[in-house]
Amino acid sequence: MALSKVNPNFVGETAIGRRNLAINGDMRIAQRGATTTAIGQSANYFSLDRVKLFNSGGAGATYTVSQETDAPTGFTKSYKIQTTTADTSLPAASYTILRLATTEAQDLLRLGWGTSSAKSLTFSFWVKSNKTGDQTILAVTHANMQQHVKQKFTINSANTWEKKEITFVGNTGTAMEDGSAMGFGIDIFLAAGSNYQGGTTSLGVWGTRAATDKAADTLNIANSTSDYFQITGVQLEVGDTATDFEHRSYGEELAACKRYYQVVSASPTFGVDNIRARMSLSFPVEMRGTPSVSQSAVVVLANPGVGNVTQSGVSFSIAGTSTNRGGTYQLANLSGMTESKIYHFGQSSGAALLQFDAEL
Amino acid sequence: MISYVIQNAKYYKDMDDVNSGIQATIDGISCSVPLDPANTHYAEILKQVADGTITIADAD
Repeated sequence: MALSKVNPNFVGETAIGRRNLAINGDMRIAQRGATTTAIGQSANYFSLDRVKLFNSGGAGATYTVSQETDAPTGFTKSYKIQTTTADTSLPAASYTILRLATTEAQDLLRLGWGTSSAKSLTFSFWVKSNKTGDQTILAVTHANMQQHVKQKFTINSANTWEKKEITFVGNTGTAMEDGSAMGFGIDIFLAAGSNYQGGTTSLGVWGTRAATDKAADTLNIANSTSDYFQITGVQLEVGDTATDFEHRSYGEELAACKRYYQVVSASPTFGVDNIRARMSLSFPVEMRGTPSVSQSAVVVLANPGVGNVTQSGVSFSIAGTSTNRGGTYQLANLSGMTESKIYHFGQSSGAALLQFDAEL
Repeated sequence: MISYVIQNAKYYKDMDDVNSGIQATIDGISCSVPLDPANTHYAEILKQVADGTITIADAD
């Protein structure tokens, strides 16, 4: 059938779906809770899924990260980083980075990087800040590649949602190796010391990640407690054209997020002895790799027949076997457990969560 | 240049007395880290050990 016979009404975003390589681009998933306060020196995913924040390199600002309902038309949520303790004289090595659209290498092999036909990537997003001006943005390759290409965008009006579209040329020089390791991410240096502001690399040219100009232009949100940076509608797609944001269902996005991080809030456990309980779990979504495990708060294990047992402190670990599909895990710091009795975790444990982390 | 703050890293053993993971405080959170190079936390622990930044205590 000739293309002219296709009803244009059917050639919408659904017909050309699966364009967005970024997960949780509309910032609706926040498995770690809606707000994280007092974020000092660290490198982690706070509150919202798939957005990593680095606040490193020495004393710098302190931040709060939150999921906000303030969003541009067509969206309902956004990611906000708000400065809560400013640093007007950042150490040379200090930096604050938002890392977005992190992607496994195996999901980018179709770009044909390392060949003359390497495909471009286009990154689009909505942004809002009290700061105006130019901001460097980097497309960064990881794993075997370790390169970046720099572009910049401009925030024209303070406290106003603006849409930005940036195309990064394909990398013709180096091929990405297959695998589940991190292959790619977008870095925005929202604040940076002088170590990152001295280079002269041209825009749009791939080069080593060691270049010193990662933050040649920065909004520097560390400067005042009035400073904030908000983002949503994040989309990373193949090609040199930004298309409308690809809205996927909440369930699809949540499942995609669970490949990297998931929580368990209820499970049967059994007493190993009087101080430990174990459980076997099968993850609802196969994770990227064997996860690190932790718990958010002490748990209460309930058994109406022999009584409840409360942990004296958090202690959750892998008990021998753990893979990306699940495993056997152990809660300790218990007392008065009865061996071989079944105890319910989740019935009386409040908001305590068991956390599984296979993030990039 | 980018790293987690890792403290109190210590191996722990499974029921067969084989090292099965590392208990560590990572960015202030107590985590059990599998001995899997694909795990970001384990990869970072290995890097910091190689850099001489941290050591991993033996299991009890």
